[in-house]
Amino acid sequence: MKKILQDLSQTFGPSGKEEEVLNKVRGYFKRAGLEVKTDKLGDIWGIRRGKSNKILMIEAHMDEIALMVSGFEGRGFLRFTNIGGFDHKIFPGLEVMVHGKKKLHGIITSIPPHLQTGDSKVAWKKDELLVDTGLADEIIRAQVCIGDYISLPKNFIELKNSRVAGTSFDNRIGVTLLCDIAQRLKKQPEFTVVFASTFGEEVGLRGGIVSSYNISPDLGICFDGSFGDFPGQKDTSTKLGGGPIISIGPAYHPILVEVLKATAKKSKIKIQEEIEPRPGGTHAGMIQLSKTGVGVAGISVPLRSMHTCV
Amino acid sequence: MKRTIELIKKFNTLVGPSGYEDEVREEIKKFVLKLGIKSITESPLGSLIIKVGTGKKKVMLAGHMDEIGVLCTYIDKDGFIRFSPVGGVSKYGLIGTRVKFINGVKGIIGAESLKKPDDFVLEKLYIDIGARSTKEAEKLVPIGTFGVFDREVDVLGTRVAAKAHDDRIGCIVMMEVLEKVYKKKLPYTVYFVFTTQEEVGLRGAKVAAYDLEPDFGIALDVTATGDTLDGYKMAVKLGAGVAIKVKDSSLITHPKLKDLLVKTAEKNKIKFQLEILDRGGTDAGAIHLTKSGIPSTVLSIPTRYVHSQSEMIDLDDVKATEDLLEKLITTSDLGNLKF
Amino acid sequence: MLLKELSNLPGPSGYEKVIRDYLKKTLKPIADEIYSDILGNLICLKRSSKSTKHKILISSHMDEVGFLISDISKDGLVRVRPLGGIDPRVVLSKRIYFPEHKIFGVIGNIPIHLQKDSDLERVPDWESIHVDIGAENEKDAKKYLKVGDYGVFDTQFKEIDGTVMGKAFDDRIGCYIITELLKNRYDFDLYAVFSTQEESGLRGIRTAVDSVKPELGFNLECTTAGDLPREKDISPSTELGKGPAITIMDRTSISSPKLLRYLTETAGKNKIPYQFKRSQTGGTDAGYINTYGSGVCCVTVSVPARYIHSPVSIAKKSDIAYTIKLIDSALKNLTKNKILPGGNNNEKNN
Repeated sequence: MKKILQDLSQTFGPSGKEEEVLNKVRGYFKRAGLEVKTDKLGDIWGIRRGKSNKILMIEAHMDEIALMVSGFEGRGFLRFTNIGGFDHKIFPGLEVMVHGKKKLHGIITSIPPHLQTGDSKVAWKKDELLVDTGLADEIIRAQVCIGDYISLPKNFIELKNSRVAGTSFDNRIGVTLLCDIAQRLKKQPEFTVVFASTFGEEVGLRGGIVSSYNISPDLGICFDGSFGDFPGQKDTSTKLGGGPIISIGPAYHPILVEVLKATAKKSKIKIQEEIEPRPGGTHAGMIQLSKTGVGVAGISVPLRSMHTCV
Repeated sequence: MKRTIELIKKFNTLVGPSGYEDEVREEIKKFVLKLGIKSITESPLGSLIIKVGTGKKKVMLAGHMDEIGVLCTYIDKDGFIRFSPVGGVSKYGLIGTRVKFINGVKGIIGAESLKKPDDFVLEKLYIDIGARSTKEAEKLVPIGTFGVFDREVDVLGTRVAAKAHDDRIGCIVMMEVLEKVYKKKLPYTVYFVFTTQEEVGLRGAKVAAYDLEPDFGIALDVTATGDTLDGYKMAVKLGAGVAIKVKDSSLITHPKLKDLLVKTAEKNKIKFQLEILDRGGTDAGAIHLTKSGIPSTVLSIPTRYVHSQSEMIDLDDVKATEDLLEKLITTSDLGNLKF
Repeated sequence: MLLKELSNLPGPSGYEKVIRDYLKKTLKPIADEIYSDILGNLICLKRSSKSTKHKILISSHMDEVGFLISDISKDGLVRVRPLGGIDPRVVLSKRIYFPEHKIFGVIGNIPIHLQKDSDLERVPDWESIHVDIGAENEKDAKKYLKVGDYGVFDTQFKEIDGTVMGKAFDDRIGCYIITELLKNRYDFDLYAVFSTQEESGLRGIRTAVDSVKPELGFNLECTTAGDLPREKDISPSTELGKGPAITIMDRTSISSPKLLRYLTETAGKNKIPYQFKRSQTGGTDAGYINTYGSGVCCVTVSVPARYIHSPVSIAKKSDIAYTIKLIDSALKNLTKNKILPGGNNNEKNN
């Protein structure tokens, strides 16, 4: 499983250009012996036919947050916009990769203390930050065009206590689970299981809407990342190492939630719970509303420092 | 060019706030009927759908007929009208602006005394239609009457300022392209859809796409520019050609579709630029998430001062947009795309 | 009285079971078909009196604003998060009821003696709002409740001289009106949808409308009355006692101009007072009826009530009665007035 996570999390697949990840997932699904399909906008699903035609959709979005070139500022400086939600405080001093015709290294600008004139207690504004490639203007214009993606560093570090750090665990961890479960599911299941790896969650839950329309599932389970404990972080009771997080709230079918909890109890799996009083912010919330309705459950893996690159 | 200017002038005198696009729809219908096209339908939400061509794959073009405006919500004892915005109305520049209601009554926007900048909120503005009492005002403009901003069109060289380029210019591009192609044998079935209620949530396009189930969606709409003094940071410039949408808040164009648009423009020497709009969406956003998903994009006409009463476009950009749209729907490359 | 029952029963957004069961029981004798879907929407069909098979939708939502337990503290106090739009300024010193385990609680507050002047100005955040259910400690509290349990305001319905007071008028009044209308039979198939999760983002209606696939929709709501004493001559949104409030436009929909005209004409003919809703904020289920499928003409009609989304609202019985009369007259004459889609709109585009 660690290998799959490492492989998938080090592959670049920002919202709108998930192709590389999609191809990796295709490989894993095929190796697991699934029937593989894709749709026009960039969802991929692997099907394990069951004894009945009832469909359980197991979903995880494969896109990740990233940056995108939005303009040229001269002398190799690039203006950028974000794809998905970022705290721009993580940017200054970050090494990035511009995916132009060639891959180009870049650094996000900052100003050394010696040259600062403004108030150093105030974070730099998003508009003040640029990507510096250090290249001449002609070179950069020949290699890069507006709309090219910029990736964050793709490290994968093994820490103590079998914990790992890396980029885009939101939601490659979910996709990893899909691939892993697909491999484990060797016997013909009672019902048909569709493993769906979807696009565009970070920019508006897009893949969830389209894929559930296509698949018409009876039930759905969505894998995603959620918050782990971190100092100063309010409103989270879930912890790293505390087990999978089961979501509770209007978006999740109470019976399905009970079934998950009971299964965990029977199999002695430690679980945590998380409430979601405002439904609709995740793919689960969209899949639930597909056509005449789908009962869904959400299972998340606790992650620290989500939407950053560690 | 002269013809385009004429159309711009005509269409910017029409009143078409979201939900009440009737005048615009009738004018487009007249235009289409004159061409002798008969396959015209209307959707329950009021979109006008014109079908041309018989190809197997279906392309939906969408330009919205509606514009931002106002809704009369209350008349006070002196006959002043309080109003709500329809769509994303910016408060800046409203004071002193003329309003025209759908029944033709005109008025002026005034403001209560504003002592500090924080006082400047829409709730402090009102419309004065010259009435002397509640009764008189109610007769002229009953509560619930929709209106739009009223301003004449000015031609400034190749640039034109008007109150509702957003999105009458998209409609005009579609009309002029329709005129050019309707007699040709097209490789697709092309639906020219003049949509409604875009400014309040992309509603007309959403239901039209559901009904038509196209293979591709292309919206024709305006986009902001980043070429004004200390303006919004954006790479799009007025006069630099049609803007091909890479991303906005409702859509990321599929890379294969974007590449095809770029190639088509390059091959035909059509001036173009790539567009990233940080805030704002278009009908294409609604179309692409319909049913099983429909690859969609936007050909944008760069426009300065969007959602003001003096939106400015460059006619060269309009020409480039028309050229690219015409090429797209008359050649078979689009249909050959594999996703 | 049915409205009293509906108002008193608990049905927070996401846990509408109690309301659904109650409505199912009440409507069983008069409905031709009644079923619920996976989101918990209750859908009730009253068949046409003729052979014509037009499908008309009439909808209201069962859910009310409420709470979800987010945390139980060491000393046994319960923290909650709002389901739907609740201003934390209205919750201090109010009663809460947790229907799943039938537990009552009160939202406590620090005595004024112990507050600084500056504290009096401060708006509480949800983190500092505590519900006391009388538990001794965390372990004790967890015997009765758990994280994720639903709660509602605990308010008893009252009726005084044509005025009603109670909780959840938004939108049990709508539900009540529909139960009255379902006693009649019209010359089309009338589908009544009692939707779920409206307060958490207009969610239930989206799947309900897909199973009904209506041609036309009437959405019945309870909306904000803003007719409090005020200094300025500005719009009060709606006013109590002035009849049903018809929506022209809100955040999620623009009412069909055709239906709007039809309703005002119907009101005129039948001497029913009506008003327009004069604020455009807020959204309703109409937003998803309107944009369903190829588009559905829809209009929202509301009974005005003061203080919705708080522990208790006030409404006028006359407004409720006039709303029933207006919608009933409108439905009766729908076919005769050719309001149903037809002609141009029905033409297929291929």
